[in-house]
Amino acid sequence: MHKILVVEDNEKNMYLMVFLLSKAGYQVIQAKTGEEGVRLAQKEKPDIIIMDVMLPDIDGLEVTRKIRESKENDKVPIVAVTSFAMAGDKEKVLAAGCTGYIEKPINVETLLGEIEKYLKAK
Amino acid sequence: MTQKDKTKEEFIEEIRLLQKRIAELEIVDADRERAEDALRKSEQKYRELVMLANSIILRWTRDGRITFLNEFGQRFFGYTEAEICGRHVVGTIVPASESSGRNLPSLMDEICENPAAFEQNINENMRRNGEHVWIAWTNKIVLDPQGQVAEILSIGVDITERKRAQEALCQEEELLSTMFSSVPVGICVMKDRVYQSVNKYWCEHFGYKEEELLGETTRTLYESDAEYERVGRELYANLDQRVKRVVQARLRAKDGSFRDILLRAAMLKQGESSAGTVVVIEDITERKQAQEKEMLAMVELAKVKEIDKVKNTFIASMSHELRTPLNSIIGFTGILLMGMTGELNEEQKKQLGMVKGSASHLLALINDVIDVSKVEAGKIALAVEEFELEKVINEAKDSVANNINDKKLELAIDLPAGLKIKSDRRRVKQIIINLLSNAVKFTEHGKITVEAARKKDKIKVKVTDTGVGIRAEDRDKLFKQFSRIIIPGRPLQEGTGLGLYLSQKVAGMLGGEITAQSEIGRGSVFILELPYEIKAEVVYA
Repeated sequence: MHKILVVEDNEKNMYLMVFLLSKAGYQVIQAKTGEEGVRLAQKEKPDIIIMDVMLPDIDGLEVTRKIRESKENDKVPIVAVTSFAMAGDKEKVLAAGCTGYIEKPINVETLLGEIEKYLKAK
Repeated sequence: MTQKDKTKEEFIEEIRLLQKRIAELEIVDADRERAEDALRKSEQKYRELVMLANSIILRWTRDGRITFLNEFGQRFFGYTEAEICGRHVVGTIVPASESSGRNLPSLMDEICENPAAFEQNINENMRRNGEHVWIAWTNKIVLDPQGQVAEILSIGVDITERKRAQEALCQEEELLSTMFSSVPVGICVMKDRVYQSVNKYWCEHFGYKEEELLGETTRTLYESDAEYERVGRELYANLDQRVKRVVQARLRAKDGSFRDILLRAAMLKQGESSAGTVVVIEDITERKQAQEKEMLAMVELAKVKEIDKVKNTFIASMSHELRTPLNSIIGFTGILLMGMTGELNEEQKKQLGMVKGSASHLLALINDVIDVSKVEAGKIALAVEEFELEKVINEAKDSVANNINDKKLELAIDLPAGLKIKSDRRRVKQIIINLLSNAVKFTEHGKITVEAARKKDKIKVKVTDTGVGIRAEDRDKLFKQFSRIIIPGRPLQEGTGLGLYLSQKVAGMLGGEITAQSEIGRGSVFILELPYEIKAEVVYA
């Protein structure tokens, strides 16, 4: 069973993610702040990380950079799932070290397929 | 008494008297010799004076013959005494006429007729080598015992240099005065802020006549006493010849209009004291207006940029804030509709479908707004590739298929097999979807046709419907943002009001355009015309 870390501060969106991913058979670990995301990535060594960008403490880009600092996590797929959908937002996310970029609102029918794709490419 | 009769005493007496007489005569002789000597000496002195004097001393007769010329004069004119004496003045030291045209022989006559009037005169003379010189003469008439003019004694001083300097000065004055009156620059000389002289340009510039200004103060040029005093203070304080002051002021012309003027002042010196101030004006009204205009334009541009920045920030934050709740609305309705939480009955499916539809519409609105802001900011990167138009048209058809089926419309696609275009696939599809969905939206019965063809370097995609058509007065609004076409008797169609505006902008970016034709009640035709191959210069980064 793949371990997946979801960094998301919005309660409803977290619930949505957890529901979808658990249904699909993932072991889901939840982080509601950036700091928690960095800590849990270090501790749990997930197979893939779903990253929100706007977070209450440090933003998802900074969280990604911190996670990438660690040797064990410098290759883990980090997929930004974000409401930042303006021109240049995707580039910013990828420049910070994310592997992929999915715009919110997510398409529940295709999300799981995309996650599979990133896991396979790992 | 005879000699023999004379006594010895008488002889002695005679001898004594004779001796006395001799002595007396000797004294007289000595006196005479002394007097003669003195005369000789005095004559000698006088001669030396005449000969050596640093002036020309000339004696000439009534009929113009030279009788004497001193050494200085001989040297000056270039003749020896022997050469010059006895010759007529005209042709030797006097030219036949002055360069100014005055007849000198007749002048000689005049001098003799009325010597008192010519005690002093200046005239042009001539050296032996032909060089003309100017000499100031003092003339003295020597009369004979009968009271007739015997000779004229003339003493002359060479003033050629002085005369030339004077002429040069005159020329300079003439030059200055010509310049003063003809330069297209306002100049005036003032003393204690009273006009002493003023040139034509100045007068014309302020609309005055020269006589209206001379002797007057410059106060009339100023709007207020305070301004008059300020300029006075700044322009004249501690002014000396080397310092040229520049002061800017708004000066009033006679007609009451104001001009922006740069005043430049320099002191006019006469020895150590001031003879006034020269003030030169430069009209900078137009330059200032241009500067102000430029300034305003810059402020305007800054404002526009600021508004643009605010707008973009607003759109970005609106997009972000709406996406977050939409994520759970669309996500959960998706989950429910997929049956992941259990079976739904038909009514539940229908209503959830409506929720999802509305949420999707809201999302489309957000996406269109973002697209518009991207397009307007020129922030769209084009991905140019060669692709088959048929595939793109079919994909577009698929995205409106549900609506076509719901309305039971017919859709026909007609284009040559394998028709290709080199452009941005995604953007071309976006435009075709927009044109198709508009056609579906406004057509209740009949047929929608999509045709495509290549004509030389152009690709034309034509979308024809049999819908309600567009009123002539609405046709201009078609491609404007947030303009919605109102069809009388029908509810307002769902839409963002950005579709055609955006499509037209994108078409422009692809180097093409969209045109529309329509007839009320018969339907509309929208033609997308694109270059077969996009030119490098229309690729936006």
